[in-house]
Amino acid sequence: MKCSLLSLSSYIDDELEAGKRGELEAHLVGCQRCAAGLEHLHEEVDRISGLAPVHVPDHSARSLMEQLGLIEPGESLPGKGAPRATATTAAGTLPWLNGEAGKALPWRADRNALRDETATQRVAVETPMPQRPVTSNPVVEGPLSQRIAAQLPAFQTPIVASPPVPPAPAPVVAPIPTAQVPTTPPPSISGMPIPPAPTPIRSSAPIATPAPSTDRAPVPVAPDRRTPINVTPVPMPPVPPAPRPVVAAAQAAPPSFPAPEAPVEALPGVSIPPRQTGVTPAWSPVISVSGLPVGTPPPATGLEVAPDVVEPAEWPAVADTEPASAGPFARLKERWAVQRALARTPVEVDDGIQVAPAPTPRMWARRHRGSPSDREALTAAATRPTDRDREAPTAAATRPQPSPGRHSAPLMARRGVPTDGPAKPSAARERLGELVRTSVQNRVLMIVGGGLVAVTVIGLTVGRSGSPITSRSPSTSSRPLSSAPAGVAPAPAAPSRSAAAQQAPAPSNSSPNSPGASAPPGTTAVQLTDVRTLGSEASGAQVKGIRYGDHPGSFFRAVLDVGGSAGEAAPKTTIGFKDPTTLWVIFEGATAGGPPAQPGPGGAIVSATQIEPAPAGKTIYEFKLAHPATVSNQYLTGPLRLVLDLH
Amino acid sequence: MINVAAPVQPSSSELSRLVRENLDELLTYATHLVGDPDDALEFVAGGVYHASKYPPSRISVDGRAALYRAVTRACRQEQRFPPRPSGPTRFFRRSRRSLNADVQGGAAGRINTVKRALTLVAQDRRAALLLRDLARLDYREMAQALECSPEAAARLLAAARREFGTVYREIAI
Repeated sequence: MKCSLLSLSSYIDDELEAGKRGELEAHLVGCQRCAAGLEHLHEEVDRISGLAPVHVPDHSARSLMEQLGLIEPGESLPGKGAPRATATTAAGTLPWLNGEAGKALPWRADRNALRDETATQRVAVETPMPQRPVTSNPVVEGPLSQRIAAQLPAFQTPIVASPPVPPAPAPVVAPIPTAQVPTTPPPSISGMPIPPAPTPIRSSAPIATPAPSTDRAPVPVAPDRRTPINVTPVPMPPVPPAPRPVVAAAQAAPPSFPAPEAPVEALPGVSIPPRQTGVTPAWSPVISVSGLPVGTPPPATGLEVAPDVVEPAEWPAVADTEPASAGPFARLKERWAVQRALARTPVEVDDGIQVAPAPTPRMWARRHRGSPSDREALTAAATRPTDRDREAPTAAATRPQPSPGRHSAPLMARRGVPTDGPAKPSAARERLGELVRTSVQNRVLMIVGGGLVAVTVIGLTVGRSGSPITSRSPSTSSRPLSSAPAGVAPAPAAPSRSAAAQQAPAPSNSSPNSPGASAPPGTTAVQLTDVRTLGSEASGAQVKGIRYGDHPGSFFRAVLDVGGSAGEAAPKTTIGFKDPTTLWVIFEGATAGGPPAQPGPGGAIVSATQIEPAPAGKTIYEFKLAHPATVSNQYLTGPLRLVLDLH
Repeated sequence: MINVAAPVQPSSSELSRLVRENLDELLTYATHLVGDPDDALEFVAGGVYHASKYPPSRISVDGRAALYRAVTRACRQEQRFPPRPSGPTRFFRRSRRSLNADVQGGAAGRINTVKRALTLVAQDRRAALLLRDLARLDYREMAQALECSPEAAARLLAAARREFGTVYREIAI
């Protein structure tokens, strides 16, 4: 045996068949590499299985299932017991395998059962298998290839309809001789013999129609009770390359069924009896996808069976009024009479919905001519009950019927089909739809309009702040600028803080009237910005000195001590920026007590200078700022002092 | 072709019982598969919602494997419940109510070495690892959940164990 990670992984999962398991265990004794790998795999399994679990509380589970529509709001939460055994673990094998091992998998989940059966199977291969007892509902079993091969002769053999046979007696099954049916099972992938399954082919019994949908989902098939077909085995033709996975065949639909638009796909392995032309609508042998004729009771495996067609309560006895041997024309008339009677007989499905049967071919022909009466019938026929509606009345009564969708409800209302609730007028629905659409449009318009307004406001704000038109801040004095001291012409409006910061090269610097020019300041007009005026008309004041204080992170403070004969009366003071980094403080009616003190390094004020010569009665101080700033000013008393805070 | 077997919704009681029995395991599996308990809850809800559209035969025969298949597909394709709005029209829609449920999965949401190694493994291999070693599904159920053959599921699981072991040993050092 070769070292194989796949075998080791299957070994620790107990998914390896008994023979290979024994070989691997023998191999592990001598192979240290595989033994180490097995230990590693065990460690990985332990790590993954040790991951933290997640728990959903009951109230959350209830909420979740209510939102998913699995339970009603007032319904009790299904109990959480031990995890229910699945179909695989309950029976040991999958239910469609009937207790046999899988054909494609070399291992199986129930290893113990396989181990017990291994010896039996080995013996069974050497001895002929006994035939299974024939039941009234035989099941076609065995490998898929054998089942297909068993059905191929029946498909290629001309089907001969036998005389009507009463359905009561059980079909007699004559097993085919051993020479015609291969009894030796083909070896599987892993070499494990597959137990041969008996394939009884009925000589006079109805042909069973297996459903070769998949290899794992054959379902038992009930015999055709009405049309037994004689089958003569012929030599086996070549097996088709790949049968279609799903077979759906409709045979001998009711004569009134509008079949022209309904193509029927018949695939090998499915026998279709000839279309019935009789008038007895006793049984509709519609074969479902699952391979079961309609009307057959569901098998015990729990597979879903297509529900039966709706039959009227009583069939009109038209066929009894005329003899059946009146000739083909009479039979045709008889058939049309039945169809007309069926078309007039409403069929009550459930929930009080009366649905007329399918229209006759004549009605289909009149449809294009637009007969009003037939149009109503066709409208009713268009609402034929689907297979879902044909479920058992008990199930339909217990389960709430789904409400029609928002697209189909108006259509059903126009057709006059009652829904589970009172039919809402279509005009109201349309009005509601218009409202919804209008609200959406309004919402779009609101969003677009809001965006335009926001852009406008932003534009105005930016344009205002960047505009060369300056405005006076609310804290500035409302005093007219004409009252500015002589030789100093304040600007008509002060720029905002940002503008003062952005206008680094102030236009006043380049102005020929700036104090930095060669002309003396007393003879030229200086324009100040951000002008504010404090104090009164008091006189006799004196600026004694200037103090500085730095408040890191907040502001830089300059205090001008004012004294003199005026006492606590503040002289008239004008404060303004000559340029963003030059602050002027002009006192009227005050004198300077001495040269101004200079600030320390690192402050917002670089230097302080007294402008001389100044106009008469005025004292002007010029402060050079390290950077553009804004100033807040106030007079404090006791002693009187002017406080300038530079931010 | 005439479809005479119309899709019939499974019995709500059967599905609800199956979901309730396996809800914790499903959420644990999805949490470690996607790495986030909140996303896992939406994915599990999306998968269960999708499984409610299955025919009853699949629920009754496949059992929990059908649920794991739906949840695995929801995690792979990011099918949430309720679905998240997408496209430019989502700006004009009213936001839907989110899923109202809380889970007790704080420990499962934490990242440790095992989870870090799991995130470095490909998602299909991670799903195979979790389905077998955490959810304890057998190979046939794994095949149904991963939508492959049992042989492919076995090979995928073996490769996932090898890759996870390699990554874990590299990270653990």
